[in-house]
Formats: sequence, structure tokens, C-alpha cells
Amino acid sequence: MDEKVIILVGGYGSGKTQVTINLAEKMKNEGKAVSLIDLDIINPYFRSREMEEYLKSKGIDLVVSHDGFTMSEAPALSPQIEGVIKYGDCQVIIDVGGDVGATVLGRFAESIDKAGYDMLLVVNVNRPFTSNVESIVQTAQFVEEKSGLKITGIINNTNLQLETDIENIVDGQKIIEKASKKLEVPVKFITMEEIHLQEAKKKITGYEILPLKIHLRPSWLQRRY
Amino acid sequence: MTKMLMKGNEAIAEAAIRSGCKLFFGYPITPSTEIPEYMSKKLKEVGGTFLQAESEVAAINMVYGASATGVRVMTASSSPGYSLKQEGLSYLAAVELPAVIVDIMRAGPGLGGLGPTQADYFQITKGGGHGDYHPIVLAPATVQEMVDLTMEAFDLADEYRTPVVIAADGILGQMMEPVEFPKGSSKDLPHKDWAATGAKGREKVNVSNYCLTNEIGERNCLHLQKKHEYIKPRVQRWKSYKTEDAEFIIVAFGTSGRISETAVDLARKEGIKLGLIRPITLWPFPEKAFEGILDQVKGFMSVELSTGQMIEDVRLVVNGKVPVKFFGKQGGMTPAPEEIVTSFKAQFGLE
Repeated sequence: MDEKVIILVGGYGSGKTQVTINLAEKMKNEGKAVSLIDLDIINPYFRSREMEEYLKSKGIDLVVSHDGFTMSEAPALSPQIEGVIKYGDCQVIIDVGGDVGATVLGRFAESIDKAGYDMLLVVNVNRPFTSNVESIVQTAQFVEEKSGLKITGIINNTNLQLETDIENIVDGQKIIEKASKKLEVPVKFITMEEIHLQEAKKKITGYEILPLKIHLRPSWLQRRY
Repeated sequence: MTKMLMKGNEAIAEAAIRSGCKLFFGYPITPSTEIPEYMSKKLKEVGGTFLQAESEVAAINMVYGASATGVRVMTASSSPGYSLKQEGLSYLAAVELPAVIVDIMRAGPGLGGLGPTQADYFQITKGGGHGDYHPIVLAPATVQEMVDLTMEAFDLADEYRTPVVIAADGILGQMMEPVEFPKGSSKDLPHKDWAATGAKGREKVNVSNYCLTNEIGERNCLHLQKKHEYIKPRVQRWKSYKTEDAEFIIVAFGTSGRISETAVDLARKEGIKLGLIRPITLWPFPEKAFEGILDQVKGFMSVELSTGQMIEDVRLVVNGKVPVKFFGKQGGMTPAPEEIVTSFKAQFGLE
């Protein structure tokens, strides 16, 4: 992924924000200057801007849709966004809200296309609207139609949070591989929490794995209830 | 059956469909919008109809009309929208129509904000609209409970011919957790012989309640009152956590109940015998949960995402026997378990 702009798209709750934050951190650790654009104007729960302090501490630049009014729910977009895409001398990562959030992305399609991009579809097959090949393909087509941009890869983010096991990830991978063939784009990587890494190495070969550190999960949710 | 990862709002919608809900009328509002959104996509697949009404007022009155024909129907909103539905809710209660109404609470008063709260407690449990009535109120604390209680809500509504409210806060509506869907209930429910289904071969029915004499009005009110008293002992639900040997007890529902469970464990690590009563029915308030423990407990603390509403029901049950304290967060803020423990220790002089 050498393009200047990496866009993460997918259905609601596919895990875009978690993946975005982890990907930004990884690229920063590889020595790149990283700007993360939070383009989620769908609703104010569980968004990357909640991670502002953390991202700052890691030296990652965060550009939000409407600075200082995170709860306003106004469909307003910061002029900074266009600036970073066009002129930023950095790796740009865009976190797009929900599936209909792709409409917002369309606003910047021309600049993104000029800058060069990878658009990655984040998929969790345990989510109700991307649970099989047809619905994944439909979601991909919907995002492409709304954004005016092409999906160039898929990220397998199949999980059941604390109840995830390796079989679950492998089952997800089978469905996603079929969707990847239909869409004619590669599976770029598979995500998982670090506790699954050892087993994954035995059961999954030929794919890059992005280990996830889970943010946005408060202490009282880190237990089974 | 395999598990799905669902948002609370999606789980409510799917559970409603699996409970045989065929009609949904609503008007979108954060943080409950995924409910109408999900219904708009899925309800037609089971031969149902989703309709986005022109307002919350219209939606609740459509619910009235649909329920009067005996069909299972639901509406959903968030606090300001729930306020708008109160007149219709009072009308539903008056003519004893079953319906499920969801309130995914956000900050108030007024337009308030989008963050999670539990500050509609008074409005939801004490009626909300005019007149003497109580809907049954169910308060989930997990996404799985949003599934289970939505299914139960439809049964309770039909069984007792009453509106049932699902009361949850914005966090529960928005957060995702793994869920599974049990098979629909096979409960033996009363035949809806009161429903307006076309009067072929029978007397016509009339689902309306304007009282032309005070005597009829009195009879109707006393009938509802009798029904409330019948429901009260029968549908109380709660979950007790480490109350057996507890010297102090937190009372908290929904998200604050869940956070409080972690707070109980933190306090226990410090040697404090703290327990938790998590009401699942907010009306009727689970008085039975307090039976037999009032003598062993030195004090209660109500933990709420409000400035203190349920605490009044806790005080009614405790009836002055021991102190009842309060800790809350407002306006969309949520407490960390540590804050609850700190406040608890300070208020009971345990530092």
C-alpha cells in the first residue's frame, strides 16, 4: 500500500475505526508522517475523535469533520480535509462513517483520485448486513457508487469481540476470499487481537496479519457479562 | 445457532421481527436511528410494512390504529421524540392496546444532547402522558438482553393488553456485542377478541375510550388500577449480584447497572461487602429484590445517569430503615467504576 491516501470503508460496525487507529499506529511506527481524517458524520458514538489524546501522544495528526463541535451532528466538513488530501506531505488515512457515509467521501473523490489511493473494504462476516458473499459484494458496490471511487482491497476484520476464536476468523476468511474473487480485488490483510496470533500462524498462511490493540472499550466492558 | 455481532438498536429490531412484529412506524433520531433503518431494510422480507411517519406524534397514533386491528406493532425513538409520543401512549393505555415502544435515552431536558442518559426514568415509569396509567417498563443492560426483553415485551403486551416500553440508554443502543436469537416464544396468549378485524359474523367492536359520564370514567380508571395491581407481583424482574452477604447495596439499571457490577468487584477487593440489585423491570419496580435483605444492609446507593430519579423508588422500598445515597452522571457522561467506588466510600464514611 504505497498510495498517499488509504480509505477505510465498510458497513456500520464493521470495525473501521479500530482498524484505522491500529493501521495509523503501524504506519507511524514504520517512520511515516500520518494524518488521520475522521470523516464519520453519521453519529457521535464510538468514533476516532474519541481517541484524540491517544493519537496525539503517538504523534498522529487527527483531522476531524467539525472541530470543537463533536456532538453537534451537523453535516459540516472542515476545510482542512481537502487541504491534507491535496497538499499534505504525509500518509493520509481516512475513516469513513457507516455505509451511507460513503456519500460524504464522494465530496472529495476528485482530489483523492488525483493524490492516488487505496480504498479498503473492512468486513466482519458476523455483522448482519455482510454475513455472506452476496451482501459483501452489494456493500462494496454501494460504497463505490456513492463515493465515485473504486475498492482496491478487502480487510478481514471478522470477530465476535471477547468471544472471538480462531475458527471464527478462519470461517470469515473463507467467505471473504470468495467475495474477493467476485470483486476481483485482493484480501490485503486479516486483523485479530494479539491473543489469537500464535494459533493464526498455524491455520492461516499467505496473508498479512494486522494485530489489533482494542481501543474505545472501557474497563467495564472488558469482562464477559 | 451461531452468534452475530450486533448493535443494540439492530438487536431490538431483529428481535421484534422474530417476535412477529409486522408493522413499524417511526421517525429517526440519534441515538435510536438504527432501529427504523433496520426495519426499513428487513421488515418487508417478512411481509411487514415499515413507514417513516411525518412526526413522532403521527407514528404513535399509527401504532394505535395498527394495534387496534390486533397486529404486533412497534415504534422507537429517543428522549425528545419519546416526549412527543406521550399523548398517544396515554391513549394506548386507556384502551388497553398492546404495543412495544422503545426509548433509547439521550440527554435532556429540552433538545439536550446526543449522549447517553437514564433521565427519562420518571417520564417512562410514572406514565409520561396524562391520566392514571403505567406501561410495563423493561430495562436491558446488554445487547443480548435487548433481544430477550424485546421478545418478552411483545408477549407481555399481548398477555396484559398494555403498552410495554423498552428503556435503554444511547450506549446500549449504539454498542455492539455478540448475540444469539432464541426461538420465538410459544407462550399461550389470550385471543384478541377485542380487535377490529372486520365485523363479519360477530358484533362490532369499538376501540375508543371517551367517557360520557363520570361514572364510566371512574369505572375505567379503577379497572386500570386493578390491572396494575395484578401485574405488579407477576412481572417483577431483576438481577442480584453478590447480595447474599452484602452490607451495602448499589441499585442501578441498564448501563449504570453494568458499570456498577465492576464497581462491586473493585470494592470487594478492598474488603468491602458491596452488592448490586439491577432492576430489569422499572415498572413494576422490583420490590421483591429487597425482601429479606433490608435487615442485613447498612445502606443503599442508587447509581444513575441522571440527577437522581429511580432513587425515589428505592427510598419507597427501603422506607427509612437505612440511608439511601446517590451517585450519578448527567448530560451524556458515564462514570468509571472507580468513581462509583470513591463516591460510595465517601458517602458512607468508609475511607
